[in-house]
Amino acid sequence: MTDSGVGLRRRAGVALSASGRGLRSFLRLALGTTAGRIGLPIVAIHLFIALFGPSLAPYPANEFHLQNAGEHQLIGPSALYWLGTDQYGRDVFSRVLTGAGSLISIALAGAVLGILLGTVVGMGSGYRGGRVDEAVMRVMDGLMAFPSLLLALLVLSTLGERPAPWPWLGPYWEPVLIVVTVGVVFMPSVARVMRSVTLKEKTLEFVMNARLRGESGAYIVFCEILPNAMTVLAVELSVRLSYSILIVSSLGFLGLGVQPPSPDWGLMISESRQFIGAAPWMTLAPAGAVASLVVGVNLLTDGIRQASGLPRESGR
Amino acid sequence: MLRFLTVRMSLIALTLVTVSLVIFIITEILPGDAATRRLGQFATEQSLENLRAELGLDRPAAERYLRWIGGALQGDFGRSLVQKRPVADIVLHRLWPSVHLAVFAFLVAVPSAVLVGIWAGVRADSRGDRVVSAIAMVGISLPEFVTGLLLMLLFSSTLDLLPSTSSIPRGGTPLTNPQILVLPTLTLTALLFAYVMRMTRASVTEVMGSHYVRTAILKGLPMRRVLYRHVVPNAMLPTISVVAANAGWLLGGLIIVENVFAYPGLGQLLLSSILTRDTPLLQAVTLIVAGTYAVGNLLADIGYALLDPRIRLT
Repeated sequence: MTDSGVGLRRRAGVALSASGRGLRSFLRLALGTTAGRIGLPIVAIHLFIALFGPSLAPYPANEFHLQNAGEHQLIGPSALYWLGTDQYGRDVFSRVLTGAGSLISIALAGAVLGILLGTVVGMGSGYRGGRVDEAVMRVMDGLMAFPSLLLALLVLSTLGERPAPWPWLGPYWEPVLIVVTVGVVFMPSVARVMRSVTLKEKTLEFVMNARLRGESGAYIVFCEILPNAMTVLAVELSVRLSYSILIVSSLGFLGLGVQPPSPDWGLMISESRQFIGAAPWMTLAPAGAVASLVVGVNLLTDGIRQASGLPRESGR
Repeated sequence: MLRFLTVRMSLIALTLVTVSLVIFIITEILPGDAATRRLGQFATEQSLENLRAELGLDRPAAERYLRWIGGALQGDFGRSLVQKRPVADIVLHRLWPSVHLAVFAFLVAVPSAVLVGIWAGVRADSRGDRVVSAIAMVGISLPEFVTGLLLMLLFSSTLDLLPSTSSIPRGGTPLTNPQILVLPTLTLTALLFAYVMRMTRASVTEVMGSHYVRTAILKGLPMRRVLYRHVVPNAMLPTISVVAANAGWLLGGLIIVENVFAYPGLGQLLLSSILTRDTPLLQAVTLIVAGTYAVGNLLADIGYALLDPRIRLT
């Protein structure tokens, strides 16, 4: 969350040396590290489930199995229900498989939005410099003075008051709100990192060249400087993705994310609390799913970081 | 040093002002008219007017902000919309349980994490280090609610040693019921330990590879002395900033942990104030949590400066 100035400067410095590599070559490099070799398959399995989970699931996620007067409720793992059933007789395995898609897509969209916002704000502000930069960074500092979950709760509680602006957005309104919230929460820290990269780069000769050629500020920022910041961006994206999963699932757990009866993992864990003694599988299945996903992403992040030669992060 | 402190102190004041502005804008201005929200869309214009006058919403936003922050500085956060009591009373009542929890977690996690981090960092890539690092990796990856429920499953459902909910009986304090503190503290500890341990390990490893440590070893200093004089002091610098940042973050993590265990602290209060749209209460709690976070970061900066003479000069 916070990052010492020294760390930022070091990050920015390394980014200069490792310029112009795409995400794909990073993945290949990351596979050269132990962390990456373990993390990538875990993430790949989750992505597969996110894409094909609903069609792999043996039952519809919200189907109640209430035959024989409640005989199918809260039953343990069996051949019929691989991970048992919940209090309504819904198949926990099907719900876990179906829930992967929404969590992963919301978390990924939130992380990407945060990166986009942060990159535009940070690079624009850093390139512009002067008073505008000063003012923008003060606002970012103000936002960073909140623990991220707290800021997310604040933003979401405000946004949640508003109905969807267009009717067609209605069904997607909840996920959109969460994505926007995560984006806003991530914006300041990404902006700080990208700003420091820009400050470093903008004094270099190729930027001067472009400026003398008469290129516009936007061209210089996005076509000259941004390609050199790809390393930092790749690491930032994978770090943000794991926080994003944590925040989105936490919001679900607190009941502020996707609403029931969605098979959201955080929500499932929250609902399972009442039955934890009688039906531990209701907790264990989604908990294992969230945990393995975050472990996978974190390992992959470590792998990418080692491969790119960037130092370890210095905090949450 | 005095100048450094003055600059830092004014920076923290600036941050707190920004924080309060952000809270005010998010809670009061962005959601639109509070009177319409409370009375619904079909309220008569007259009743809306009355409520606006009662809540002071007919005043300009700048004046409302100054009145709110002025009151807050004197310990007056207004009245709760739901509980109809002064917000300050409610918050004070909930503050102490959270402080207990945070302090205990901190006291358990940080010293042990630093020791284990140094131990693992000194023997980086040995078998012991790999085991500890793998555990820490899982530790930082588990969301608080997963850790909390796993602990609940183990210690209260299966072994039946500890209570699964941590509500405090009427008139009691956390200290009169220490058994309820164990699981929430352990949950917070797990994550905090993993973070601080990873950080310590990383900086110890980095320092161990430096030229001056190599020199110290080669000139024949006993390993113990190398560790105490050269490695630990230098490796502690980045660790301190993480520890302090986590002190504030711990208050954010409390939101989850307190709601997992139904522990009556600030985090639970925060969530209920959001769910019941109790704006004055929400403002007060967020101001306290964000303020603590900001002060934590200030303490980190000061601690950093005390240990690193280079920072003081700039």
